[in-house]
Amino acid sequence: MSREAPPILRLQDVSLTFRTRAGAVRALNGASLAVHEGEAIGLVGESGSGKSTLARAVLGLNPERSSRIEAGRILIAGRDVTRLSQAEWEGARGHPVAMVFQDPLSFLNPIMRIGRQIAESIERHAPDRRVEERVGELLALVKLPPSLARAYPHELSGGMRQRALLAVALACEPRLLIADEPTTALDVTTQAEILALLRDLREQLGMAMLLITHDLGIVSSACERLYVIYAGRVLEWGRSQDVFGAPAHPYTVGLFQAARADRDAQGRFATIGGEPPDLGETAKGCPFAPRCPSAMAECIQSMPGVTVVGEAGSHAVRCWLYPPAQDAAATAGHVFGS
Amino acid sequence: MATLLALQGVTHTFRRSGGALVTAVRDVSLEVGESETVALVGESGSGKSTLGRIALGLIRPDAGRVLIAGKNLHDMANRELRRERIAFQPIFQDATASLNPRRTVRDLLRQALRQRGADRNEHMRIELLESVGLRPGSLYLERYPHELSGGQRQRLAIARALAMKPRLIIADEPLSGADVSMRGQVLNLLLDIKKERGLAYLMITHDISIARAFADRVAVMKEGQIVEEGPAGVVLSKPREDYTKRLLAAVPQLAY
Repeated sequence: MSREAPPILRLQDVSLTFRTRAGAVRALNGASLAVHEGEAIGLVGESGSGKSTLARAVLGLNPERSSRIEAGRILIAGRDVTRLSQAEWEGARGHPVAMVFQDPLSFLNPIMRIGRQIAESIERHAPDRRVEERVGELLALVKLPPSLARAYPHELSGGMRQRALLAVALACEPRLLIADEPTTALDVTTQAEILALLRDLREQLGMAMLLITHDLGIVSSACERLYVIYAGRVLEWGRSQDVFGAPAHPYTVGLFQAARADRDAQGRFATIGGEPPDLGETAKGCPFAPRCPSAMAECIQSMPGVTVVGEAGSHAVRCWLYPPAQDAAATAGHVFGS
Repeated sequence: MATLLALQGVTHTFRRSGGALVTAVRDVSLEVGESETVALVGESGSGKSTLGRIALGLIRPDAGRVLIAGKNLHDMANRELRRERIAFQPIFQDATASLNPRRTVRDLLRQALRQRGADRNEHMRIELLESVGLRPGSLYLERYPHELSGGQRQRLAIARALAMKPRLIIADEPLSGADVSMRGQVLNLLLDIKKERGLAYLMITHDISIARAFADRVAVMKEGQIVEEGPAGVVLSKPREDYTKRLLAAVPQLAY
């Protein structure tokens, strides 16, 4: 699995806290992840899992005053961007990562025509182009008619707005697109169109994608590998076929069962007991332990290391049910999910 | 099976703020029997929520009839109307928005029980909380909605609906705000309540997997009309209509 180039994105043991009135909240707790050039990666988690915080941390979008990366590193194409401020991000021309969000309206300027917004993005990130022509290209790329350059965001449907935001994001010619719940607000038929568009764009542009979602169906059909995040910790990761085929962590198992909405012999729906964790509590052990049907004494005491599971060697878990191998070197290559 | 709710040829047209007329529901007929679970499936703008509000008596349709156990909802006198309306209780997606944040759980339940003229003692309130899995009930009485988790708030909203001893619960996207891991808990609770109380549900949802797993019958709505209706197993596995087929094909499947 060794590759020459550094991954386009790598997070190494990133911990991030928010200061709130109610005290510090640890949104990310030693999260590691890697996205290689051209890969489609899913980041799966529920609300409060830290998945959006992680994505925002990559682009320095978390509020500077109330959030702080306490530990770990974020590397984009090998360059350490951990401490880059928002202003420094703004100044970084042609930078290789762009992001789209669940709610395009919050990121599109309501009083500026779509074409102008795409043009500004071009001028900021790839300024030496013939702008008008490039706007047309980008609209065509996201399969919007040229006439939409003159439209305002409120005149567009939800699906068209997401396409417009994609065009703005693609103006900087990113090598990695981070898509944070890009279809959650859309109807299923529109969602299917946007997912097909993302697939086409990746093929056409050779762009990597980090798709953040709570929808396992989307991940299983759109992503080559996935990471499962819970309470700021990545609990399991691997190739989609391996993780979906044989989920290892009890949280992943429960999540997959719940997502299928199957009913058992007694007609009951699969559930995960208890409530999502309070991130203010700094538990020493596995954050899922209080809800875990298989929890043991050690689960409450400490977070286990990384164990490779399955034969393919590309599937790993952090769970005491799979005690880490004695030979730490054997697992070291998998710590960052490479 | 006796018919509990019958919508007959219901039509409703809105005037948009710009002045344009939009027919949200067009000549729709739908029935829900005693103890039956019907899922009304559709995308946004299909008219499914408007139809739910018509069934609740919150919107008076321009044409057509709404019958509760055979009686026309809009022919009833006010008092009778109020009593019959209580038979249909709503649960909405956003439990927070439907719960007054300045009232404690005790107040919220007292208010609901009083509407039925049944608020006799604390015991009833506790029993109601425990019937939705908030145990021990006494622990929750002093709390305010914001002091509950999302799942607990949804349970409280269900408890408040149950205070009216409804025969039909109209649930408008009750799960779309819930995390996947919490979804099973709410669905099992709805199943338990149905079993214990013989309730009927009209579940308004965009989520095909929920409709498939939960409903006896499914009606698919598009542009204000029901385009296909039948047993859940048939409609969602062997759909006749192109629209239903497209809808099903668009749902992301677990590929492994």
